[in-house]
Amino acid sequence: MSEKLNAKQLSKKITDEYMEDAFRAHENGKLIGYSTAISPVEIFVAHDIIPIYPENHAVANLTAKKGAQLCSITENLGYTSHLCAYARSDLAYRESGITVTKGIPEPDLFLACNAQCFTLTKWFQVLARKGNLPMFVFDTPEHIMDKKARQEIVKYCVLQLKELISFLEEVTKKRFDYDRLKEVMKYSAQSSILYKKFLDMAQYKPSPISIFDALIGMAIAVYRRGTPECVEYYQTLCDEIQAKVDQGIGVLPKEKEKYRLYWENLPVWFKFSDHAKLLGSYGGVILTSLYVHAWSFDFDLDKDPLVTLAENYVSVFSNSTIEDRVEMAMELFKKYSMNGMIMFMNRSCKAVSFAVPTLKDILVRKTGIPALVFESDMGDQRFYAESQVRTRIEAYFETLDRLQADKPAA
Amino acid sequence: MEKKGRDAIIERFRHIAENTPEYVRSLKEKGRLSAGYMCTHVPEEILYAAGIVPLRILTSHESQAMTRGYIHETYCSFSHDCAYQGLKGDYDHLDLIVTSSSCIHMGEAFNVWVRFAGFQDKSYLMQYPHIIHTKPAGGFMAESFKQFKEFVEKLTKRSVTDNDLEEAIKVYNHNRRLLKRLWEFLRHDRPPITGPEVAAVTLASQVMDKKECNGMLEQLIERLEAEPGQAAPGVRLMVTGGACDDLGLFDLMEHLRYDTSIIFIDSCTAARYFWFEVPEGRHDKLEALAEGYIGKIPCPAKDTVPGTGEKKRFRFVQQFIEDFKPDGVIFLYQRFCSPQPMDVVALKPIVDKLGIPSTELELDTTVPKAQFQTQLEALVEIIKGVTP
Repeated sequence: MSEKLNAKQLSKKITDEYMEDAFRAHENGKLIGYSTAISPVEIFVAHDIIPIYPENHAVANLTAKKGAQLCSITENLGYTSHLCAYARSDLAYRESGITVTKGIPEPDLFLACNAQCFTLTKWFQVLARKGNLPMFVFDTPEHIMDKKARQEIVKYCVLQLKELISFLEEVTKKRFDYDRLKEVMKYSAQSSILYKKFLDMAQYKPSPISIFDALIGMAIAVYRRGTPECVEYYQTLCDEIQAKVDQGIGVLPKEKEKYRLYWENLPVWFKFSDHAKLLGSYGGVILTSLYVHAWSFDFDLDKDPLVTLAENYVSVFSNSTIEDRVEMAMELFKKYSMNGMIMFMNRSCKAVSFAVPTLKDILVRKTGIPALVFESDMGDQRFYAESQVRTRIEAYFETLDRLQADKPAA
Repeated sequence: MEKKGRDAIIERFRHIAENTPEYVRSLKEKGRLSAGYMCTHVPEEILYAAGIVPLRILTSHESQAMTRGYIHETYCSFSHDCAYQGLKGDYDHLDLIVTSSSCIHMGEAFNVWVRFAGFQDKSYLMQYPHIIHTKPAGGFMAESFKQFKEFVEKLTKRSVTDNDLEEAIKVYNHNRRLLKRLWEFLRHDRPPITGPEVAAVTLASQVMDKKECNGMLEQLIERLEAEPGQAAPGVRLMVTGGACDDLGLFDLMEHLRYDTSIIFIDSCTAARYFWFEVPEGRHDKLEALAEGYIGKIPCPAKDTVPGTGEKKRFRFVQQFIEDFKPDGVIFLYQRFCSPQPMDVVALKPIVDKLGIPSTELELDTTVPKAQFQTQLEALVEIIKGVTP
């Protein structure tokens, strides 16, 4: 009997099989559907369309520090340097073939959900127009607070999901199977619960995971949700982390874990491990962000699948009001007992950087915790000032140390 | 010397466009309610039907450092400047600020007004579909307009009847037709009005009580129709792109080393503002409004032809080129806007294919006039075949 794979091995196996399946899609009579990372991809999975996420491929290249090289290529094509680094690196990959992976298969169709941002829609439009390919935009109006308005928004989204199904039926000449969708939803709901459980393990002291583990761990939720292997992966991951908790193993040893930090925005991908080491040297661990929680959906299997899909995708943090974002963040502060926050203003991502100064003001006021704000780009190294960021981080920890020293003994 | 006739009317329009807060104050003195709006995807007719004068928040082009603490620098200067209008208090006497969910930059400007400029209790964020020409979007839009109407009724403590809405639709359509007639003058070889003048009038129309605006427009058109064109034809330039209310920039385009005339501006601060109509005489007024607004030339942030990667706006741009016959095209957009410059990459080959030379101007906080002038003169030299 073969030995049970650990989470890392399982993640690699799932990813390899998924990509192999994707590259052989046409041989197997399947289509490749490009999808935005936050979109009702369960409908693709239920209809046997293999979802491919150009954002994920961009992340692989940006983490490998290919950003500046790729972005320059796209700028030479006439695009501006302030366009999202994901879009710039992807358009450059298509022009040059440069990638640190095996690349991604060419698309047959597109699904863009604007709950994340509308640059993605424009980016997909560029690709769709180039290949004269069909594209569906799932429009998710901002999830404003008003109850009546929310009902109308969900109604509108459900109607669009029905249109998406008709669109897919027309493109594939195949009838959509609602029973299959229910099955996919079951897997998606199960894996979402487990993914959230994994993220929430950051509440333990010392925390067994940092945001960097969460960012690696979220990949399968992004591209394999709706499948049994996704459920298996998160069950394995949760078991592994629970074992660490049981043994008191933290990212930092308990006595060294001084600062439990909140992170706002996407990560600076090319500084991923540097940041983890730098913060760790000051006793800091970033535990979470709203971004990693974007895939911890709460699907209600008792509802019509299209309704619960609409409700979940329209209410992700990047499509929510500032009030909702504050509430989501405050819940994390309380649950994870955080005592510091880093607010990253990301040149590349205007959607996630939306109202960050306002969010910072409110969170500082509500928590009484000072914030570190710094500006850079998630993928383009040309907009990262190493010494400036380091100085800021050092100064921030000095401030936290001083505050802690000034605190009256309990 | 005091100007008379057409010049006096145009000067009055330009004064209003460049001194909007003063115009708002005058409305207040007359006991009128007024509402500022931040995006042209707001159905002004609903406000007007309730007796509120809608007026667009435009920029002041002043150098300022106030907004950097509220909005990230990678948001466009237009949104920074609009936010600044709220922070400096020039619009304190507005009764309401409204925006529709459109571009993220103006969403930030609205956020600043609501949270930091004292508009928390007098603001409305309208839900507006990004994909505006699908079947579900039409229904959603009509429902969103209904909720807005209910909000306005509560604010004004009066009901807005179908007759009120029909009247407002007619006043607005009349305004659109008059503006269209004004722009049509620019199709002529010797138009009796210049592009910058038409741009000034169009801007003013966005901040004026439409009945007053219509009256002035009628007088102006009557005078223009009676006089022969005087302007030198020069090189015909068409502008296409994003919001730009800097009339000085349009003046610059007509004051180069060579004779030039602006003959069309495709932007939400110019032709895209009014180049549509709302169906009149319909049983359901809100559905009629939705149909009208769906028919607008879309902003690049909302432009998707369902099922494809194509753009509806490009068809209009091609039509404008055919009708207005430009010799050159200027792509004008705000720095840090994503949808506009992304569209330029796709639109430029279409313009190239038509054999029309083009150039790009990127707007930031300050307009680099000398640099733009050189760029524009280079464009004209290409068109005229000037050799160094």
